Amino acid sequence: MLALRDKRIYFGVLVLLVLVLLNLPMRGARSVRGAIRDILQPLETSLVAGVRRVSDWASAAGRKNHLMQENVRLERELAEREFRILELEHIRRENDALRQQLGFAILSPRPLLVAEVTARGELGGWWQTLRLNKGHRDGVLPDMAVITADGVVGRTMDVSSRSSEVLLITDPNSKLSAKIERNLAFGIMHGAGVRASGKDQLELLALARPAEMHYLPTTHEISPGDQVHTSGLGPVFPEGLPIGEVVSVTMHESGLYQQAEVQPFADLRSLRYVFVVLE
Amino acid sequence: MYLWGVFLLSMPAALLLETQLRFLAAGGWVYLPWMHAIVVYYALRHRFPVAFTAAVIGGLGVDAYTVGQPGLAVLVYGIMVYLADRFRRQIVAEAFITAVVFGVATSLVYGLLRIGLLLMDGHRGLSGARILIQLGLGGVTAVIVTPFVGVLMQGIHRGLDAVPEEEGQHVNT
Repeated sequence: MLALRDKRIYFGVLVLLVLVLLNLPMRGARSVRGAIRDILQPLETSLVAGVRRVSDWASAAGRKNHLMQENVRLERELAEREFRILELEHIRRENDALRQQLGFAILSPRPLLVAEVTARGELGGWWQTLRLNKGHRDGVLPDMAVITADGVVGRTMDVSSRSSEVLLITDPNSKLSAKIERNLAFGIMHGAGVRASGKDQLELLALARPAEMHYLPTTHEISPGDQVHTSGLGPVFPEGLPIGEVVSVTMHESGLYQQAEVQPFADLRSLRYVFVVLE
Repeated sequence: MYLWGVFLLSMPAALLLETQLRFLAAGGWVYLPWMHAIVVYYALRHRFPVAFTAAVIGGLGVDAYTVGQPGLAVLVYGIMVYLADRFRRQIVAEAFITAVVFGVATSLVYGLLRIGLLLMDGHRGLSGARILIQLGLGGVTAVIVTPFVGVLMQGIHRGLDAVPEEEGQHVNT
């Protein structure tokens, strides 16, 4: 049994703790969150691995275990190679263009880190995020681009020693500089707050697209099907990474610029492995 | 010893369930408040020091997996433990309805404070409809999860013969 005085001490400690936490500077807050996440990260990774193993086993009943392991390894390797091919194609195209126009071509390959997705979405559901099993100790820093072979996924936000949170490009708080690949119309892309699943979704009783591109110049003709790539103008995303495809184009009510609805190439709902661009 | 063993296992288990199961439910709109439910269980059914520790550890855990300033979950759980302790003579801690009321209250208070902080931070994508839907769904899931977790935890504690003497009576003063 506790005396009333002792309880007051307990609550006093709690109030003090809350005040300290709520007034921590951004860096301190990230450190606290990261330290706690790091304690649970091995458990979470093991849990995810266990669940996936059971799921893989169930979906491939009848196959031998070593074939499954081989399959996982090859799947990962294939995803990496697909991205490399895509990157090489882009480099070749750019190389040709630069050789023709300027007579030189220098593009260094981007160092990539393969990371596994261990969780989706923060608690509460107000932010669209992913959690990866790589952090500071693997070379990940805040504001690094996260991509797949299909396209851009998002950027790292909170990074702890063993894990990192990724803000998806479909989150309304995400913004990135993008361009229409066909005619180099530049604009700003931000998430529309809709869960990206590769198809239209019923969202609050209205069909909506996961991302929008704003401030597209009226001088450029933009059509559905046009590919959207990163422009390289922002500090996070290197130039030329595929983002998605224009679905529809409308003139902004002010008449000053066009805006487009964009469907991301990457299926953000079913990601398993992603690449962090370590640059 | 069993009591603290169950406690130390239940906290990370609730957190991992919450982080891993949330995206399975309705595309992320609905999250199942496992940690809210565990803290409510400890607040209603266990001695004050255990409930207090649950509030602090559970709150820190939830704050660690939430984008934004940490401290909010610790505050809300602390309030719930305070209320459970303050009104322990007036409420029937074992009753289904008590668990539901505390579960829903935790979900709503936490949700409202979180929205307030997000608004202060200029968070985009906070429409009135979304706020109402998410708060409503949070309340509904709390109605389901809180009593379920209470029964489950009680079963585990009884199975391990780890029920504290003060259980249900809160003889803390």
